[in-house]
Amino acid sequence: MLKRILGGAAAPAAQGKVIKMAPKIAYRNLFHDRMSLIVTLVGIVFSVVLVAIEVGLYKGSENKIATVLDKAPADLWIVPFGTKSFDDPSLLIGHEKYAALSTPGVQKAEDMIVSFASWRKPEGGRKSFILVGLDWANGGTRPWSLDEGAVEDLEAPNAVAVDRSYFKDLGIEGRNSYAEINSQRIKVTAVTKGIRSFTTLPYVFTPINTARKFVGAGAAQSTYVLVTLQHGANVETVRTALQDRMQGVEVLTHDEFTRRSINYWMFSTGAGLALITGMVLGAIVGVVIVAQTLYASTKDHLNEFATLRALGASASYIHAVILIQAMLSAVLGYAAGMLLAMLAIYRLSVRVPTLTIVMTPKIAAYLFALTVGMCIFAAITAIRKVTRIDPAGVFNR
Amino acid sequence: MSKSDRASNGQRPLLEARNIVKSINTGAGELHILKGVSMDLRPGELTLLMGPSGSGKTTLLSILGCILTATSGELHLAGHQAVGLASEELAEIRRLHIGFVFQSYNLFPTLTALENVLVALDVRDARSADPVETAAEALKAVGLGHRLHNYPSKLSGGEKQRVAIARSLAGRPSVVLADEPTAALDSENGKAVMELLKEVAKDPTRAVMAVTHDHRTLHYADRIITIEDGRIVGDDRSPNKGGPDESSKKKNVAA
Repeated sequence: MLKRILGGAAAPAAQGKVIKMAPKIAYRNLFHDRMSLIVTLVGIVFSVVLVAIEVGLYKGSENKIATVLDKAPADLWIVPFGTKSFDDPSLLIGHEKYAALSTPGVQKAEDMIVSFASWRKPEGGRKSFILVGLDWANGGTRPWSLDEGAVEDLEAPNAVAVDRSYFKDLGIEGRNSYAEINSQRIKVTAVTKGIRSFTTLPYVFTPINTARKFVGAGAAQSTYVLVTLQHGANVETVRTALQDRMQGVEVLTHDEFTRRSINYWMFSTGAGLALITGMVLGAIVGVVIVAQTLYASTKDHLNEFATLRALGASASYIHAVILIQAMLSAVLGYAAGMLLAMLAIYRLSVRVPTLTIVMTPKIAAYLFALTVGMCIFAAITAIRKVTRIDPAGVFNR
Repeated sequence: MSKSDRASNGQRPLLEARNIVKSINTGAGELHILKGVSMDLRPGELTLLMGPSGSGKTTLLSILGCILTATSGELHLAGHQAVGLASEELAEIRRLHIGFVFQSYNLFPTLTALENVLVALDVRDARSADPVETAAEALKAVGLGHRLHNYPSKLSGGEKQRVAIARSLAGRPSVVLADEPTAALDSENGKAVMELLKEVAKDPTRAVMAVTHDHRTLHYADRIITIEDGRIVGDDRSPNKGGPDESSKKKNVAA
């Protein structure tokens, strides 16, 4: 029996199958020391939750900064020279819309007023806000996300729309409330939902002519001119033509203006840096904890790795065991971390409705990739340790 | 070793070592652990390597097993000249041609007996129609058919060593090297392990060598090589035919 089964030295056969044991060794190593596994997972979970919330806040902030820009689709924006962001408004001279309309390649041009203004609450007290005047009467951007009232309700004299989430800040009860803007009595005839600015200043929407009246702008003046190109027109050609015809303006693509606004608020003000620092710190904490526990686990199992080496396992086989351990940790930690992060985001959004934390499948996928990358990076120290194993050590243990 | 010795059992050696020297730098100077060792291992033989502590037994075993590389000399194994090869090339020789049995068994504590054998098959990329069945058969062959799913912590020392032997043989190596295979076992288990190794060595395509201090194992040997102070001082090819053959003992047979 012994001879039949075990006899006959032979090279490995090309046919047949093998059972891959590296994943099993990795899995068993990982679950063998429960305490070590728990420490690893706690590290990854902490890291994932921290990074998920920081990324969600960052993305939410970007969305808020670009909230009006995203709803006002235009190929090119004519903005006062030196405009730092969408809500850093000053007025154009006033002839830009007509200059644009007479430029070859331009299909449509619309004015938009964006201005800081002062809101006087019905019960007293003032609140600064950002007034947005839209020109939908001439085919321009229409108010969106209306929760109460209709666009037509805004065509009444001194009618405005405010977001439901700012009622308290503006000191009003709801639709049909009265207040004053720049000492002129207004009526809230429509209510929007979910339109929040990155700053704490509310957006208030009104027809462009009403906005001009509130801010004392001329009949043709605006803050921005939104240009839509004719089908097939070259953006760069039209941009150059517009720029050549006007003084004291910049002509930006939609993406450029969005990026400029985001960069201003996120980086010039330092708000984004704080979020990015949080993200980086979260990732570093994760890497350090995973690296430490993987290294400890590798040291604990050094004799087994040396045995594998003595049995003839290639370096890549042993690296695979450690990397699979790291990947398993990443998957488990990510699953638990994302679950907790989603719960935290839900709780935060209920308790603090003004806080916008965005979590999309794409961000979740990026986070997963980050977690895996973090764990693989953390495995490097363990791999370096194993690489230096002397298989002859198996005879001394 | 003379040509007549080399042909003593009429078969080509599976492993041949010539003038193996191993030196290490201790910081205080060169330490010569092996001083020109020549020997071979032939199929169908159970060879015991004996010698006092510090004589170079384990170093020689490591070099023959391609775990350690010699400072100089030649080591021929299955057509390869192993001295001077890179670590991955040595690993490949180990993977394809050598099976190890360790004093402390070196089983994976988190894997069952069956899985421990499967690891050796996987490492060697030894394909079979049913790897689980192949591993189970190897364990049954060493008398552990009833212990397939037991973890090492649930096995006795003798059973652990038998799992280790099954593991070493599962990849069907041409050379099996055992380091003090009975040192951690009581006499009964030691006897069972040596009987098993003796049985393994009966295969005409395989050579078995065991490093041992254990004089109870002598009567299993087809050949006893004695090493002292880094030199082979004895090579007895018929140790159990009327006791140690003094006439066959040579001072440093390589010299």
